[in-house]
Amino acid sequence: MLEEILYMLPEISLVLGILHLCILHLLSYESPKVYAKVARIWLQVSLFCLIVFYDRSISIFYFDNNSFTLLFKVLLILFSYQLLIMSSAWFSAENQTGIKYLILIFLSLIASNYLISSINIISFIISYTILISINYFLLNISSQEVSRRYMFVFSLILFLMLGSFSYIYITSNNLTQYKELSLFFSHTNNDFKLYISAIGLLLPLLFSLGIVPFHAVKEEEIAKSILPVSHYFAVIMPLVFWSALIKYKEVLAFAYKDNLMQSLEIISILSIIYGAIGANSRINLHRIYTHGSIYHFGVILMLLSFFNQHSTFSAFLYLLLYVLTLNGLYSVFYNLKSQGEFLSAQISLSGLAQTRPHTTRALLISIFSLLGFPPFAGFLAEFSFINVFLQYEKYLFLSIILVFFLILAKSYLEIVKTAYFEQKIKSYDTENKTVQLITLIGIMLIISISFNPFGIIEKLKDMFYVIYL
Amino acid sequence: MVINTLLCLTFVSIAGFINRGVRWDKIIAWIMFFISIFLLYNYIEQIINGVKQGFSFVWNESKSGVLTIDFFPSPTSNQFLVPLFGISILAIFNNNIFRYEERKAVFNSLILINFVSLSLLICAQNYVQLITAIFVSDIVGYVLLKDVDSSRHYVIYNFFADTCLFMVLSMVSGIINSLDISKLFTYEQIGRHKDFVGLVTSVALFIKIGVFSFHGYLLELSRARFQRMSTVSVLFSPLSGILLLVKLHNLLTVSDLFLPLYKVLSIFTFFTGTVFFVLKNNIRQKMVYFNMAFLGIILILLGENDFSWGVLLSSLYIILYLYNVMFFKLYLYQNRQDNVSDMINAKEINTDIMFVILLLLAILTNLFVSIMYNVSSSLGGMLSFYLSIILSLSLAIVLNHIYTSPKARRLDYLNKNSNRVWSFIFNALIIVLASYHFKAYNVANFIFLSIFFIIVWIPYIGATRRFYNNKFLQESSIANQIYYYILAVPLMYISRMLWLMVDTVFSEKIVENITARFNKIGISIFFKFNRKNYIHIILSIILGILIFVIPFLKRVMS
Amino acid sequence: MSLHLLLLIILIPLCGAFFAITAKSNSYSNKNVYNVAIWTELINTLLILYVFSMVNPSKTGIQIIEKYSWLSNPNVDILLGVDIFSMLLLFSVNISFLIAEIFMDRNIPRSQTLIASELIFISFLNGYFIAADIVSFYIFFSAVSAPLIILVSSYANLNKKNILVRFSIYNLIGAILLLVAIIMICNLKSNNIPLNTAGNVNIKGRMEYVVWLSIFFSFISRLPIWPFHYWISSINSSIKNPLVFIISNLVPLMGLYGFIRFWPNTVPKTIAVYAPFFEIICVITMLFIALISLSNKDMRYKLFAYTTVYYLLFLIGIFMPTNILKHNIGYSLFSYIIIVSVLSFLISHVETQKKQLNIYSSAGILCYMPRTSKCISLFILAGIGLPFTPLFWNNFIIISEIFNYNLVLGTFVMFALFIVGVALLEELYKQKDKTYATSSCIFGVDLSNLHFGICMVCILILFLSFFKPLWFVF
Repeated sequence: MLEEILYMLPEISLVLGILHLCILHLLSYESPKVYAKVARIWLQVSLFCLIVFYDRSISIFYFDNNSFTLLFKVLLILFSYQLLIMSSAWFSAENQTGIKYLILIFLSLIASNYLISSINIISFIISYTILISINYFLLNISSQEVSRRYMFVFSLILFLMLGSFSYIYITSNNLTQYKELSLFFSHTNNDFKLYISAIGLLLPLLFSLGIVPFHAVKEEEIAKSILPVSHYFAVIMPLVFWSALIKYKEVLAFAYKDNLMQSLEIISILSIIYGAIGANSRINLHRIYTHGSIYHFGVILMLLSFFNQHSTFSAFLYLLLYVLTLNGLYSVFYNLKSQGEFLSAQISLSGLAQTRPHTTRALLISIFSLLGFPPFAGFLAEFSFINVFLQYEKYLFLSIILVFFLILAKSYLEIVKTAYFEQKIKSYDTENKTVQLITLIGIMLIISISFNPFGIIEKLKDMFYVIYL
Repeated sequence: MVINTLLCLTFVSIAGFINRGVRWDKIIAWIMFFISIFLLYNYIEQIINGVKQGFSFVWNESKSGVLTIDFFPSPTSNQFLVPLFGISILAIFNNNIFRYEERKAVFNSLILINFVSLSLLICAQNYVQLITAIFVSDIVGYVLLKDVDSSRHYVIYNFFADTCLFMVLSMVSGIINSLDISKLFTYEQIGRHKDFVGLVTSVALFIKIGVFSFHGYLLELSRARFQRMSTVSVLFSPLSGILLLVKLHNLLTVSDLFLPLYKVLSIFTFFTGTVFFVLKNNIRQKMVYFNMAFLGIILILLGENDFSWGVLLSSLYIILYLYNVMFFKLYLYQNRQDNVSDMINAKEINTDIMFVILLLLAILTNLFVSIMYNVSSSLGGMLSFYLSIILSLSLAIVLNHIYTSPKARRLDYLNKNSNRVWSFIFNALIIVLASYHFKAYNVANFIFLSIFFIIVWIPYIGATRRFYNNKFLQESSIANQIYYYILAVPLMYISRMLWLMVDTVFSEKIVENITARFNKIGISIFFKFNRKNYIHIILSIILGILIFVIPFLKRVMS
Repeated sequence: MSLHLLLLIILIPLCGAFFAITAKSNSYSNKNVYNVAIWTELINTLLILYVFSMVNPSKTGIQIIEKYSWLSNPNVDILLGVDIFSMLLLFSVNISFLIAEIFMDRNIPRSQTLIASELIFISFLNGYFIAADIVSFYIFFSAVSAPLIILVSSYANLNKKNILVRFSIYNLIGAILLLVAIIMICNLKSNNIPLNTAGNVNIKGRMEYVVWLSIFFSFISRLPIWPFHYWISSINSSIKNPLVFIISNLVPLMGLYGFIRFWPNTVPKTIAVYAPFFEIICVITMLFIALISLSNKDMRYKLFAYTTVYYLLFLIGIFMPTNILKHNIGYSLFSYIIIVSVLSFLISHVETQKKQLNIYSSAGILCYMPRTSKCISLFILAGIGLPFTPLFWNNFIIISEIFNYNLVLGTFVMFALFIVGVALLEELYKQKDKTYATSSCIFGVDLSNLHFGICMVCILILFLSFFKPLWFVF
């Protein structure tokens, strides 16, 4: 019992954090900085416990912790830590405590931890459902219309998921563990209904990631939310869902490799095309970045469709570096404030270069990283994925990706053009020093990671490849 | 002690650029003159004593051989060097005497630098030294002119000529794989594109010499100060052209087209020069045409003499310079009057000087004709002699226009300058000594002089003055207009068309419209697919499922 | 023990850039920023001279190699190394920037951005010349685009903003093509390969086409080749800031350098068939841009046309079926870069004075500034082929080889050189034309003693380099 409690310490510390926040709220604390500080402390405790008990799980039937899960969880916590600092600045500006947001983030982290560690369909479905519900509540903070549509879509998806699970559970004689199901699928890989059920488990992840044609709510959930929430959806959630998808693909659905390859390639191409064109069609920065994400996720999915260790790690590296860059871009948003209002339209960048050189630098470095210029993070990602495509002689796909990359690049360069060439429209408020510091750290990471300091890429690879053991 | 003349001259010319004020400028200018005299004397002494002076240093190495800068004067090259040195000293002397330049020392330095570079040209044994010397001479000429209007076309024409030379020599050196000028004769055997080489080289040389139809830029020189104009006309571009002609004739004669063209152009050059020398009103332009006619004769002589130079040709060149000096004096003592039609028949002042000038011109012309007779006899053809007679008679006609001018009024006094008389003495000395040396004092010479004076004084010749009133003749320059309408205007037109039609219309407008159109199409397709209603969401789910289903079914069925 | 000298050459400007970025925005700090830039560049130049002294001119091939590990899977090590050719380019580029920094106007807005971006550009450009393996070559080739976009965005003409995007995408296309080709080569050889062996890679079949055409087009993307020249010419000629003008006009040098390093000495037969087409396009571009410069009244465009025509001359020299021209091209480029840099600043000085004097046209403006007039005249004459500069002699050899190869090609090349020379001379004459000048000199508008002295020092460098190309190597 004690062991189990110890192994649950990462989650327990998050729960304790929630309690602490509630107590503070009951004690009528009004400073968002206090809440954020408390939250960060508990986050640090959770991280510590996570590292100590990285390979321990409360139930080996439902969960399995190893270096692979540790990798994703640590990244999750680190990005969340930064998110909390930035969001406190936002809430301070809006004169809100942000306690609801903090509690929901913590709950989301708990659910995410379990989702990442799941090796059982039941735990997967439960943690996914909880996560979706938390996301609903988060969206509800910003816009009820969006949250309603979100709930509608994911209700359908959950319904599909439950139906698929039921069919699999009955057909497989109550098998729920990934490895067992994987064996089962390999013996019955010509069974259409089983195949559809397996897809039914994949679809929710694809919806959550916004892969075309399952992108219905992706744009709205980011574009119409308040800044901390859209930051969370843009940076934190993809890490969770991609880790789950990788696990699904490598462990559960490996038997359907031959069937899935082609389908994944098709939806990847659709995402790449849609993402690139969509980014060019939009003038709101959140929407531009969302469509950019769809493009990049299409590339990641294409890499995963090769069903190969090397390409899968390349996909992970691409994801990590992309998320790091996107994080840098989002940190710029926290500096884009005019008369107390946070700005998100592309036109609001007009004259930024003349009045806010530091912010412009952060924006530029992030965009250059997205464009794949060395020595930024994006270059390493570009190098890695092109290497994989050429090794596997996927020349046609590579050509499509690169052509649409140029189209996507146009939208990023338009942002640069607006920041430098357009005349100033708004006068910006004074930049927050903490936000600037975090932005600077983020930018330093974007610059330094491509140098592979301390052999970090190799270490990440070692941790990642545990999934194949 | 063997003093290296070129090196000394180089140092002297550098010293001339030191700016220490007007008084020091005069002193330095005279010092430069006397040093030059001494160096000339020393050089001649060394030649007589058979002392060899020269230098060579390795500059660079290439696959074509070792590149050196050489100065080893031979008896042949001394036939150029000594007269050229003499003319340069004369030019320095005249500059010092006549107070025309604000900074005399600089003018003198430029003349000396030009002499040094032409010496290197004369003694060049490789192409690089040759071209370097040519470029330096052109640049010094441009610096000497100072005047923008006059030097503009001078620079561009010479730039074109130098580019042609550069092109041809680089091509030749690549083909015969050597930078050595002495190996030029091998081009005839192994060379390719002989007509191209011959014609391009000849165009370059014709421009530099200023032959008929290529002489437009020399006319522009008439806008500069007289002294500068005459110095450049004699010592710079045309002279370097002639020197190149002598050095590179092997390259010219590889093409069969060259010699006929050369002969025709030489004749045309002479006649154009002679005719316009008489018809033009402006004395500076007259001088340019006179030089042109004179050079035409020299070109004919060179053609008859297989392009080899000699003492007589050097003498002719000195005479050409002396003619320029005399014209300058005429101009000066006519109170710097440009138009011959406005020149006055001075009866009250400067009369003596004007007559002295006339006398000197007559003796000079007599000397010229005598030398021409000697040269023509030795070559066996009298064409050039007859042409020299024609030129002399046209000179007489022009002098008639000046000395029998209907205008008469008192000339103003020039500024006092007691040194001017030395110029006359010096020039007279040269002419008389030369006349004595070439035995230009026999009966035939006396008859010639008589005819010359008669033509100068006869009043009926003055009827040709009416051409001075013809505006078209006086103001137009057909050579310049030919080039303007054949070359400059079409090039500018093509340039503007390319700029507007290709760059602005095609690259900017059309390409931008096409990209904007594609962008619009993409955006409209995107918005069609990006509907947010619930039916659309359900349809997208169905589509997604189908994407997974169809490949599975295909695989199972296959 | 290696002293990491080559790495230092790359890092020193980056340190300077770091100081520039972190400086405060006030007038005192701005002055410091300029001083930091000058000292950084001076130290870097001296270091380059020191490294130059360690290079043996008689040896061919890469010397002074430094190796750094980067990734272990795929196994990619970064190699840095130099030879005489790259050292010449390094030295001339750094000297040019040093001159540029001394000449620079201290009152430019956003000077921190300018200096920082300039130093980052220098750092990456140095890295490009020092890279000795294909991956690091690509890294620096692509990295240069980032500071270039910042500088062009900051200082280009507002009317050209739409062209900026196309210009950037064109650069990006080049970078992507090169990356694809390099990764293909690495996969073929299962490793990163040194740069000097890139030309000898034996590729068979369709891949040969893909690799060499990708490499070809990637380097072409840096050069203003017709019909893709428009956005490069638009951007370059619209930049008023002379430092940024120099930077943007050094970008074609990267394409040229890439060809020298990559292009195989024995071109595969499959590719050699297309060589004449490429030569025709080069000549068309030279003639096209040279002819436009005749009627374009902007002196900067004329200078841009001059740089383009000469770059293409050197490019044609690279494609000659002989490998003896490399050093000649290097020596020519050495003087050419210095000439272009100084001219850029002199032209900018004239433009500034034109504005201050409220003059609309530049006709006769040099009459007011005799020193500037002398310097511009000298440098234009040096640029168009004045003897006593290395440009003259080395161009002689290059043109000689071109004529040896093909007469018509050589004739058109010479014609283009002539036209662009005339365009510059015409503009020079227009600016010296006394008929438009109201006086012979105006106090305070001429070059300062320092700037004039630097011009004279540059002339001296060119003059000494004419007689002994590597006179500065001790």
